[in-house]
Amino acid sequence: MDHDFKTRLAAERERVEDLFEYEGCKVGRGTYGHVYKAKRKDGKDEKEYALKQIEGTGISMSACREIALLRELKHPNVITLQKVFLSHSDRKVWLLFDYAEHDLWHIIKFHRASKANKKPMQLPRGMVKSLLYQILDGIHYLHANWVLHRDLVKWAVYGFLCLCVSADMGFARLFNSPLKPLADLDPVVVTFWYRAPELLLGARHYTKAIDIWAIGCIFAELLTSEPIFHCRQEDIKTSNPFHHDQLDRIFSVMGFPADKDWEDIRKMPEYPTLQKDFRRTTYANSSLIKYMEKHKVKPDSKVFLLLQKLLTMDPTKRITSEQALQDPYFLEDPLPTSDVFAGCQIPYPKREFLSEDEPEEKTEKVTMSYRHGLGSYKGPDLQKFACTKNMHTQKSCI
Amino acid sequence: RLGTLLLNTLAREMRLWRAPVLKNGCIQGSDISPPQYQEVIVWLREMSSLFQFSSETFALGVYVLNSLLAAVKTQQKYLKCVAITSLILAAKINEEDEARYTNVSQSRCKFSTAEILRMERVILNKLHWDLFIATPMDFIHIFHGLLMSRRPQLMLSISQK
Repeated sequence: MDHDFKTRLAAERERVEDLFEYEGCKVGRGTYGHVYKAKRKDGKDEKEYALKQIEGTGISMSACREIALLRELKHPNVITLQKVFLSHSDRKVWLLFDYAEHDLWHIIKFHRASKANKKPMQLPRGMVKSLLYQILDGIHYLHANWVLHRDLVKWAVYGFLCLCVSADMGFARLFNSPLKPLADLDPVVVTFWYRAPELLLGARHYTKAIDIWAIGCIFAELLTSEPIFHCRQEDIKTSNPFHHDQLDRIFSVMGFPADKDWEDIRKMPEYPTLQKDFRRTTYANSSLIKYMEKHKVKPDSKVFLLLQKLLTMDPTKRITSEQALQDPYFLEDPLPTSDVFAGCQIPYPKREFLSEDEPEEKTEKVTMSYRHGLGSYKGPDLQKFACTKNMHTQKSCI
Repeated sequence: RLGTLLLNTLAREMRLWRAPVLKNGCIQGSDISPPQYQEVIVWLREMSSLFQFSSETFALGVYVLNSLLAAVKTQQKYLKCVAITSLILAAKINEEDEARYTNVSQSRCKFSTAEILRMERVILNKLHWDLFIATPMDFIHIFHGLLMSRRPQLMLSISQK
């Protein structure tokens, strides 16, 4: 290539730093890379964007797959990739998305904190319904499509967290080998609280039912502002799927499953340990009905009936995302709305900017206040920009 | 379930499938002749088996190459570089072992890593990162699955041989 041509080419090339203003606007950081809140420099539109700089240089296997997969996904509740930039000078890959001011993870943390500070703030019931509907809709799309892509399977499991909260497929990389037992995955990413009982008993296959359980946990938490299966987890780095305290917590909310309710429980790899360590009688007085009644959710309400179907112990009896979307709960007033904040004030603060070289410990401290009441919980390494897409429809500052 | 899969794969093929067209004895817009094209495909097959890539990877590599040839006027002198880079991209999508394809650039083909990396960017840009192209391998898998689920006795008769 001659020199003139080269300079001409360089001039034509779209460079992310020429097109977007993002300096000092970092809103997220993690193993996946960095995320910035960005605006167009040329003023063609006033929209806010999220720019994700992928960690590492060049087009790695995971970056390549992530982007090719994102190109395939098209659903209102799944993040859309707007553009890819390849910076020529430092060989960094940048992804452009729509910006979302609030995400599910923020909302959950906000309400946990308000409750822990003895100033409980209930989520409006309409908002809970709209949120749940959008989560289910998004996960249903992924479940319907995952036969097409191995990576999507790895992504969809627990994916609702990354789907509505982070859309961080960079972490699908952690799930690179489908044959790897789930417990080998980075335990920080996959928190125990949302783990389905079959996983805690040693199930080794990814199933759609695992996502549904996790959605049930989130649903309960949106209703009560408390993680339903909250459990201290000192030994979070354990490689053993069997987690005594977590199972204990599940049984003390749900009761111990009767033989007829979960027949295949005998086939679970960790069933012998379960028999050795647990007594059915310990949990004789527990049931989901009692737990939710304490939180003022009536056992004959539609909201409770759906929750019960999502949180069914036997994975083969658990409701599917498709069935859940048809549930009478969504046909009852108030109907789910496409803007989850419709008709209510947004109490959640906007994202704060992080300083460029701020050490990780500092960001830890900022969130410590949320964690005091919650044991030594380490949140999944969530990316902080994407969520169910409609959540950012409201633009005014509150 | 296999029926849905077939429909989805067909839709994907409709959306992304592109093939080079012949014009005046060459691929349209380039100076590549059919024998040269065939030669590079055979060479790609050799490369693919040398690096122990799966047949799926090879098929996808050929389809990435085809899409590019259909989309971009490519000079013959770049053909081999385009081809090997297509195969590497297919490996990134398909193979599990990251170490294997990184060796590709260093061994036996005369392109430098820098050349391949640059070509990679060009291809990805031109194809808009659409790398999940439906290949004949996908269809063979679906047809095989359909056949075996309808006629399970076939599976038995094969295993008895």
